[in-house]
Amino acid sequence: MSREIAILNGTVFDPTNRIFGERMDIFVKDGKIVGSASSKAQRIDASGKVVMPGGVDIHSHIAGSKVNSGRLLRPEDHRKDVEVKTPTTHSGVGYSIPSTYTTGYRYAKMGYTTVFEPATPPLKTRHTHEELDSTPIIDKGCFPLFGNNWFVMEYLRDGKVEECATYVAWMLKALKGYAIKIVDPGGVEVWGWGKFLRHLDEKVTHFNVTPREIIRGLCKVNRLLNLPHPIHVHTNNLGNPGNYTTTIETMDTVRDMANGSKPIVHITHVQFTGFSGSSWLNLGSGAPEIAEYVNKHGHVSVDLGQIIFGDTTTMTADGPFQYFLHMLTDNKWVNMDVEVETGSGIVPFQYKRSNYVNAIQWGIGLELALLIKDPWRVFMTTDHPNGGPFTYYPRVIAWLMSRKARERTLSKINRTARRRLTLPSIDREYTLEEIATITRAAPARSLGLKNKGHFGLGADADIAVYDINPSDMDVLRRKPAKLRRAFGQACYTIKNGAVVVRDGKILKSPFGRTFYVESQTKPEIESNLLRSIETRFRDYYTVGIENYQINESYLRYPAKVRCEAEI
Amino acid sequence: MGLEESTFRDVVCTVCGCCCDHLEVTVKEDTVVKVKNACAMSTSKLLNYMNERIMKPMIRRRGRLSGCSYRDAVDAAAKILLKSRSPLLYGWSLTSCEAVEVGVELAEEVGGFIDNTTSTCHGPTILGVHEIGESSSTLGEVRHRADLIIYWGCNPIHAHPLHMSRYTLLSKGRFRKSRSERTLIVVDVRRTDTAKMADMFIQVEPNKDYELISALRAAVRGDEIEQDEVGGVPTDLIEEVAEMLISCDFGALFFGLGLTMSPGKSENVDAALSLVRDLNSKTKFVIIPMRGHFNVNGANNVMTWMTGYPYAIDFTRGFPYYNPGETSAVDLLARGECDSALIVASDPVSNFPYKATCNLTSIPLITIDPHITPTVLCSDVVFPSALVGIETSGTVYRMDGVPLVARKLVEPPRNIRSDIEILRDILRRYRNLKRLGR
Amino acid sequence: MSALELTLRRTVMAPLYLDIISPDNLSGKRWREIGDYIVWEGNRKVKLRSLFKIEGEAEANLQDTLIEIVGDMSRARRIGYRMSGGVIRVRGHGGLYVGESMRGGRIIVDGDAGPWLGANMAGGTIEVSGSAGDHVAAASLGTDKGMTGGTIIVKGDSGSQTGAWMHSGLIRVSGSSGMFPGAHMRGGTIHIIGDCSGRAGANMRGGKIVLSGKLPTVLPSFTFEDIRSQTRVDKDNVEGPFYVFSGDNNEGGDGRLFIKKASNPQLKWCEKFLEV
Repeated sequence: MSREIAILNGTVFDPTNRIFGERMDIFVKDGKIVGSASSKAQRIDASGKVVMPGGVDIHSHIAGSKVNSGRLLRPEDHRKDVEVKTPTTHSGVGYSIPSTYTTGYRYAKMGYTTVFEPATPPLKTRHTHEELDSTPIIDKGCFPLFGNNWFVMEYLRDGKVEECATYVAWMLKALKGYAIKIVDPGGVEVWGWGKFLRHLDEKVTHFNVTPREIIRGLCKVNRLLNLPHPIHVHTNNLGNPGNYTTTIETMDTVRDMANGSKPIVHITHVQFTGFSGSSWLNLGSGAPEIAEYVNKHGHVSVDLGQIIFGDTTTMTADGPFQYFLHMLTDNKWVNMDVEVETGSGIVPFQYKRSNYVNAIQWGIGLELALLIKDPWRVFMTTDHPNGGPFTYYPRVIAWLMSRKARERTLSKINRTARRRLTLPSIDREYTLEEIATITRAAPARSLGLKNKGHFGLGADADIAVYDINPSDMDVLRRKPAKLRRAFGQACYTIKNGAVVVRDGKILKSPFGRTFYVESQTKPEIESNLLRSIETRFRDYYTVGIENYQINESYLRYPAKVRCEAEI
Repeated sequence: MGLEESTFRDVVCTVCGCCCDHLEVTVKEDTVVKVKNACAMSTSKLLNYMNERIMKPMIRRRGRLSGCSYRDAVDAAAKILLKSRSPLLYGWSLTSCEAVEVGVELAEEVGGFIDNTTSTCHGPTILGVHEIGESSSTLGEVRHRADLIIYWGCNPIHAHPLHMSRYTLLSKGRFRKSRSERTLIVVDVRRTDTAKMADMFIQVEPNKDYELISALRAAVRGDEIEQDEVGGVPTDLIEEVAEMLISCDFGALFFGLGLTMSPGKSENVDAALSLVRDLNSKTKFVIIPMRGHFNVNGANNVMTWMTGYPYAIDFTRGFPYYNPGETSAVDLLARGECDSALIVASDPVSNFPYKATCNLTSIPLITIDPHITPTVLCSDVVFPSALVGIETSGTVYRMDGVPLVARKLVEPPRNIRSDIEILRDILRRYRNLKRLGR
Repeated sequence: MSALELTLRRTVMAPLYLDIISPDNLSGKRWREIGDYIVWEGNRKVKLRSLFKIEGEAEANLQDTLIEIVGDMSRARRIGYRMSGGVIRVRGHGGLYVGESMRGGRIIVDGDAGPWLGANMAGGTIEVSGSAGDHVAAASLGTDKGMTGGTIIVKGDSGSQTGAWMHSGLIRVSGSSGMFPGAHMRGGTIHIIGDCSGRAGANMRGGKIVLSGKLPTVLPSFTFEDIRSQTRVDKDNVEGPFYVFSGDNNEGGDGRLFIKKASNPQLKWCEKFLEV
């Protein structure tokens, strides 16, 4: 087969290169975007279709020990959604926690080509990599958890930010991780004793450090290491009424460290931390306040964590929140605390339209997307599978692009919630270039993936062609089902220069790469660090440091992203 | 790996579910000559792994197993699977995750059943988790925090010899420095060696675990128990224990086959999981099953991420379907529903109930195993294989889900291949034969 | 009415997936068409014709449809899956999952039935002349909803976990039952006329279990309530007297256990809680 592809006459959306719906050709050679192709190139007629870079998902729980525990917990979830083996695909199961093959196929069918697993317990990161390596087609990476790590908390308590940075750099390299993930800083350590932590300035038991100090410390570490992605924060107080103030406080606590216009903190699934009110009865949307803060401050980016009505499986490293959810719903519950580092919890959950709280949650996500003006700082996610399975992305896109789609759902949700939301009064409808921004260009930029999310020369040839005629947009906005179908089944998905999907069918499934970061510190600094943590490592962990580290050869196709540390 | 003596440190042990990773193994001339830090079980395995080995592939001809070429064995195995309407692929707990991955692919390709030894040990645990979930943690959490430890229906001194010293009672943690800061409760039907170390031993009547856990749950809730004794344990004592459970800072319940394989099975585990769940409204409590084989947890994990289900998976109709009792090895064999079997690193002929064994030995049987076992002797095709963690490397999962790499220490005997290689070759041959329409 | 008769032609040595055999699928179909239906025998697709001798015809009207299956179906699964009307009669072992998710109509098994008889059943009637396996009327793995309606009658014994996660309906076992009848039960009625091996009503939150035979002990998480002279099961009066227990307290439950006094002298201790 030809290693060249010419995608002809499509309407191209490439916001990074300021191409907003131009009729043009895209050429591919040896897995890269090039300026022209020979006559031998495979020709794809994209006239009357939209061409975008492959989708980039910045936050989706697709691999690792908690995802697998979720699968184990829920045979009833798989039973209702099976994939039969075909000549080009392996069999598997869905629904909210698909098996690894199915995950890769379903992302590819939607035109997504890069996905990041946003929470891996360091001690079990080898498991995360095993699953990522079993997930076909997509490129991927994972974010190790640092917000409740004993070493980190001790360094920051003692004011040793540079040592902390050295440690984090070593960890990312040893684990083949990509970014610093912080979940409920300090709160999960306290949950290790079955207790809860509520405020940014509450001391973590036994560690004499506060969530605020952890967030600020790791933000500094991130900068010292020049990591490609900012700190990725799941704030304290997730799921509690009134928590939007914690979200704003968390964003504001690093404001003084801002560096030009580049975001230095990413608040993830902000819907779950966008509640106003003081109880479940008067719960409201804190989206307007959060959006106002984001609009005024360039140092922040967010992703949605949009909820989808229906059945799903919630899973986070936020063990205490999951316990709370279990008590609330009486649903089955898995908890898994991981020594020295973190915890996690899993609870099946059903979002109901008629439920006041769920309806408000649905509104918060959309309000955030519609009230935040800069699409480069708000990314589309459902925090898969917490808000809903990633397979519902087309539905979220339809809500964002079509007022009519929103009104249809609004008419069915809890009436009190509808009255209290700002959403009905918002007219904004996303354009195709804005969708291209929040689903590929912006997350790729936020991740610092220079060759993803755009069609510049030399970029990775990850391409999605959708059956959407941009001149019909007004019609499509009135027929959201068509929009959903188009984004749900790409006409073509091209991954690394190979056509992997045609008309929503998998043609082949090569394996993608795993990105990880190596921040180069001065060599003597790392060896000093290893000497200094040797004893503590043995005291803290039940495995040896040799067995903790993951060699590059363990990954199927490792892709190292280098950066220069300032230490 | 030459003539000189060399020592490997931080070696991962491949015996029980503890997967201790602090062994020191000295190797000379491709033989293990010295083992340090290991328990007796582990030392014995590492020093004696060459005993009773199979040295070449075999095929049964005219009723007798005789040596054959590797190629012929692969061909014979592929042909058996090709003819089969309902093949069973069983074992998988004494091999690496990488081999299990190939195994699942093979099961899918041949349209068969794949099951691991979980179905005869901690299967009920998993069934309990499907209903209740579990409040768990890694072993290090227990080491650092637990002031109350319970062993229920298990005897780690013999089955998991270093469990207590590395992870629980005798380990030194951040918040619990010594034995005196921890309390040990042992529940068993007899006074085991583990029980002798306990601060409190509770002797439960055989097969009364469920009643006792129910009573404990009631006592933890603060309900009155109307009976004077439950399962042979006086109600006063049950109330005293409940008070201990509630008042600890961090409790850990470990359980073994005494709970999972006594009558009630999954409901016993269900009750234990519920007890621990209930306790979390009063204090912090975790529960961890004492998994037996070194990679039974890994086999569960691989199968789960590839198919959604941890064991007993039915691929006959081209998609994964799961229902232990219907699709698990023992039940399939007892009903006589399999017409061929591939056994990897397991000895079902010695372990399965009589009826299942009879049916297993009456169908074409392919076995991949390093050692001579009764199953090997009953087989029609036999592949000798290399030992994971000694002669070949691979990923294994500790009982609490911590993944580790078991390394290769010595070269396997000549012409002896790893499970992965053998399975891949069978898969390749199967696909070729199928393409050729044979 | 005329019957459609399926007679097994040969021994089946692999799992046989017969969920297609229900009055809903076969009523009004000609035998030729029925013979062409494909089912899975292990990993092979086979025509129904190759398995069964097909005689007679299926009535056009669903309610009048009678399907008779003759042969040992012990390796078959899901005969009568989701059926909503008509009658299936199996002469021989019924196999696994007889009448799974059945909504109406009637299944008669002249012989034993395997495990998961009437799993997830919502309506209709199943009668088994022999014994049934474990998990009668059970829920699918991982879910908390088993039987939600209908009637299951087992003339012989039933295995363990009869009526687990049951929400509504009636199960009557004339013989003895294994452990855990009515485990996690939420509603409905189970009547075991023979002995029960124990742990009746474990984790039940509602519903009623009537045990006319012997029960070794009552779980400690039940509260003794009263002695009643008789109780009702469906439309019938069952004569006692019965010890009545409520529970399972561990689940905050309000289910009722009726245990026949005459068969269970070992439970006499509870009489001390009777208010004089």
